Formats: sequence, C-alpha cells, structure tokens
Amino acid sequence: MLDTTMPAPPAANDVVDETALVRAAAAGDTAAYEQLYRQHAPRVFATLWRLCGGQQARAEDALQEAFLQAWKALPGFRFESSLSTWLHRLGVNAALMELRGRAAGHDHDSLDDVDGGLPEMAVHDGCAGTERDLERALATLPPRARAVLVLHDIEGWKHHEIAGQLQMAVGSSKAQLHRARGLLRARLGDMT
Amino acid sequence: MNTHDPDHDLLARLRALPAERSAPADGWERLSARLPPREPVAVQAPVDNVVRTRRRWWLPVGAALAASLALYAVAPWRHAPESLPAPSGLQLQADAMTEQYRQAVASLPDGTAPEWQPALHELDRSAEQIRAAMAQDPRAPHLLGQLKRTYALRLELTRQAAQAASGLTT
Amino acid sequence: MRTLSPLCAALLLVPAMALADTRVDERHNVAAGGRIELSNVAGKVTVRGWDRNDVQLTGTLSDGLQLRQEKSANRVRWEIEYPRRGNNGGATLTLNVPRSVELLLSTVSADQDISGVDVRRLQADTVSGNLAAAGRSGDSVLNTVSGNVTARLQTPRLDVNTVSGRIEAGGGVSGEIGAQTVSGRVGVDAGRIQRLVVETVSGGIDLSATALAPGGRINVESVSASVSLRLPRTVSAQLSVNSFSGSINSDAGKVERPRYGPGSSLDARLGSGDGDIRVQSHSGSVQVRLDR
Repeated sequence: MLDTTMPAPPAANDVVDETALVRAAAAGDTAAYEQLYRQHAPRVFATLWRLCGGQQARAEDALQEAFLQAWKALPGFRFESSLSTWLHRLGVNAALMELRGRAAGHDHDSLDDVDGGLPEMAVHDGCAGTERDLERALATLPPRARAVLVLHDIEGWKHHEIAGQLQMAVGSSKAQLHRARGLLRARLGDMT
Repeated sequence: MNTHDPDHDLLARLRALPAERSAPADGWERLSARLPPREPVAVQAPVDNVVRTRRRWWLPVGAALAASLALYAVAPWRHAPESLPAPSGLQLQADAMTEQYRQAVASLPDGTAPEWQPALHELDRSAEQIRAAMAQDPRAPHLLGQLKRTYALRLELTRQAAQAASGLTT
Repeated sequence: MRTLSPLCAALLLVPAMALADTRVDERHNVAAGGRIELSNVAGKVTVRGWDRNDVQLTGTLSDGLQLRQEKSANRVRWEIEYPRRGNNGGATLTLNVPRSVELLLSTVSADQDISGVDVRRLQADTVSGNLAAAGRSGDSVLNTVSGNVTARLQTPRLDVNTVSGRIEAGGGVSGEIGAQTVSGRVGVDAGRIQRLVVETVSGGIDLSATALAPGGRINVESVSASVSLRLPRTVSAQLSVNSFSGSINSDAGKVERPRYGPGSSLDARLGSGDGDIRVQSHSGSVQVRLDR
C-alpha cells in the first residue's frame, strides 16, 4: 500500500507569477486557478486529512469546499496574508464545518464525539515508518482534542485563535491540548 | 538545560510530519465542474444544501444566498507579523459579503407583504450596527459570523415576503 | 365533511362577514409516529393533545378560504388556501392531536396556542403571530420573525429563532438548546444543559440553568446586547468571557485588560473545569452569576 504523503516540492512559482495567477483566476481564468489549486492543495489537504481523522472522503469534501469558497472570494483577496495562509485557513474552516455539520440529516457536532475516526489501529507492521504510526495514532484521538493538537502543535496556531475557531474557552483549548498530547503518547506507547 | 520534557520528542515528531499530502487525482476535475462563472449572483433552485449547520439558519435559505454567504469562512486572524499593517482580512470579507448581498437582493422581486416589513427594517438596522462594530474592532471573527447570519435572514425573509405578496404560499 | 353554515336566509340582517363562513370538521387516523401538518395564514390556531388515535381539525374559515387536504397512511397535511390576497378574516382552527406524533404548524399572522401536547417532535413557524407552546416534546423547533414566543415545554432539544420577537423558554427545557435572535429579548430558564448556544445582535439575553452536564458547553455571542448568565456555584467548566467595550462582571475570575488597546477578558476555571463556557460580546455588558 503506497503511502500518499510526499515531501514538499521545490518552489515552483515565483511570487510574481502567483500574483498574476491570482489576478487571472479572480477575473475568471480557470486554467490559472488550476495552477493555484495544484500548487496549494497538497499542503491544505495534509492538514484537512489530519483534522478529519484520516477519513479520506470527508477530507476530500472539505478540500473541495475550501477551494470552491476560495474561488468565490478570490476577487476580494488583497494579499494581506500570503495566499497559502489564506487558503489554509479556509481549509481548516471547511474541515471543521464538515465535522460539525454532518449526521443523518440532524444537527450533530461530531467534534463532540468521544472516539476518533478509526476504530482499530492496524497491527504495527515492520515496514511502517514512525510517521505512519504517528498519523494513525492521531486519527484515533477524539475529534476536538485532535483538532486542537493539530492546529497548535503542527500548524502553530495560538490558543486564542484555536478557541475562537472552535468556539471554546481559551482554558479549554489548553486543557484539550494537554489531553491530546497525553493520549497520543499513550497510543504511541501501545504501538511499540 | 535538560529536564527531559515528555512533550519535547512528541512535538519534534509532530513537526516533522509531512507538510503535504497528495490530493485525489480527480480533484481538479470535480472542482472545475463546480466553479461558478464570474457573474452577479443569480437566484437559482437549490442544488447543494450548503447550509450545513441547521441550527444557524432556521429559514430554508435560498441557494444563491447560502452559496455566496457560506463562503465567508469565519477563520481566526493569525497573529500578523509586526511588519504588516492592518487592513483587516475580515473587513474585506465583510465588504465582499455586503456587495454579494446587495446583488442578491437586487435580483429578487420586490416584496411588499406587510407582515415581514418591520423585520426587514430591523435586519437592515442590525447589519449597519454590526458593520459599525466591525469598524471599531476589525479583528473579531464573531462579528463577521453575525453579519453573515443577518444577511442570510434578510435575504430569506425578502424572498418569503415576495412570494407572499405574489400570492404564493411559502 | 364541510358543511355550509345555514345563514343565507339572514343575508340582509347580519354583516356580510358571517355570510360565507365555512365550518371545518375533519378527522384522520394518526397513530404514534405519524405526522400532522397544518398551514394557515391569518386568524388563530389552537392545538390540544388528547388520548385518541385520531387527529381532529375543527373551526371556521372566513369568506373565500378553502381547506386543502392531503392524506396518506398515518400522515395528514391541511392547508388553508387564500385565493385572493387581502382576505381579512382568516381561519380560526382547533387541532386535537394524539401522542407521539410529529407536529408541524405554520402561520403568518395567526397566533398559535399549543398546550397539553405530548409529541415526538414539534415545529411551529410564524411570521408575526405569537406562539405559545406548553407540554412535552422530544424535539422542538420554534420560529418567529416578529411574533413573541412563550415556551413552557418539557423537551431535551429546543431550537428557537426570532428576528424581533421576545422569547421566553422554560418549564422543563434542558439538554440541547439553541436560540438565535436579532433584536428580540431572549430568556431561557433551563434545567440541566448539555449544549446552550445563543446568538444575538441587540436583543438582551437572560440565561439560567440548574446544571451543566460534564463536558457540556455554553456559547453566547452578542454585538450590543447585554448578556446575563446564571449557573450554580458548583458548576464545573472553563470560563472565557471577551468583550470589546462592554463591561464584564463575574462571580469568579478576574477581568483583564491588555496593556494597550481596547477590550477586556476573563478566563477562569470553575470547579474542575469539565465543561466549557464562552461568552463573546462587542459592546454589550456581560454578567456571570454563580448562585443558581
């Protein structure tokens, strides 16, 4: 089974080129937008995939939604932040909305679920790198705790930003982080 | 210098995780099929119920509105590096949202059904109030969310009022 | 079957309004799990629960109105049709409903008075009518635009929405509660809550709960409305209050201000910090009392 993560590619576009692509896409050029999508989707998808607990379909939906929203909002984008940061933020929001909104027609916030996505951890096989173990362990965390850990420890967000995004108290964000790290360590320990 | 911090190794491992992951191969194909043309928003029959959080917008929100407003993701403003001045990303989103809303309203028939009128005025007032608040505090994501909600309500009520005025049941 | 009111002979002696009123008397067999829908524009709708396995609709339709009916096994939908706009009389209707049904009511200016019901689900929508709902419901959704809502409902799930109407909810509401308003005041007096989410622009908020379930969450957002939250002293939750220019008063925690710039905030751990309480306001004042 091929691992689908990949190392960061060399910088393909100049900043100048990217500005031109954004302008063109904002004016309606879908070919330009395709370039932007191909350049930025892998970075965004890595985060969404983790936020969604490795659930491929949900992560894909969130990715689509984020880039759809980005297309619509692009005419207003003025480069106060980098395009990458902006897209990433839209992606995180889409993933969290995805987690919050889904359920059999009824309002169910799966951020409140007790369990993470994958019910069973695969038996540790000799070929798996520690990376894969870590990704898998992450996926077993409860969704809200996992979201806090991903945003704080991987994406570098501050607690007040996380608290705002997840609509929780700042103290809760810290508590969730502590909990997530503890659980993660325990799960990783179980795997060795 | 070396108290063994149990989190230290874990954090190092987390930060070393791949920054990228291949998106599905047909992703662009599917996305490009959904990209709307660059036109003023037109009212159309709902195709995809974008309103996922049912509890937010209890009124069955018209598709154009939901589509145009849902896109203004309320995302936290990352701590901006000191060198950047603060024309706020949220403010921009609010401006764009207001424009989209104006266009959407313009595309709806005039509604004069009286039962809705007081609320429509109320909502307009509220939108003004929220925008004024955003001018004071440009970095508050919750205000953008409130604006979105207010516009969504305003548009949906306009649609209902128009339908009622034309004699159709809602 | 509809029966014409026998007033034709009195045409010249009574106001024209009485002339063409139509009586309504319909019944349909609906057992537990069934669905009842009623849609009306103006007049009044009264709903009462009873112990039978039928739903009954009685009342009067004023001049020109007609009753449209769609029935299927265990389901009925009644709609009062208003063929020409400007009809003032409306319909005065009474609905008697069985237990454990799903009940959907919709009016524009007609008030709705629901009481003594014991239903699986209740959804009541109105534009400018007032809505009173009392009884038991497994899941409740109450929507108005400018009408007022008074709910004394035993329900573990409540979603109530208004633009400018006044909302008062109590009498057994608990569990998952959502309230959204623009300028209407909202008062919620709840039992034990799992999730309480309230959004307002300028309508004042008054919330009170007897308990917050472990892991429970309260989230309130306001632009200019004042917010009052009252919980027991024993509540266990992380508390976070932020206001740009409104005052913060709390029985626990200390209000902090940044060295430069506006805004104040309060972060405190109540008890063992099991739950999560977050209040966000722009200019509205926030008060947290722990003496429920």
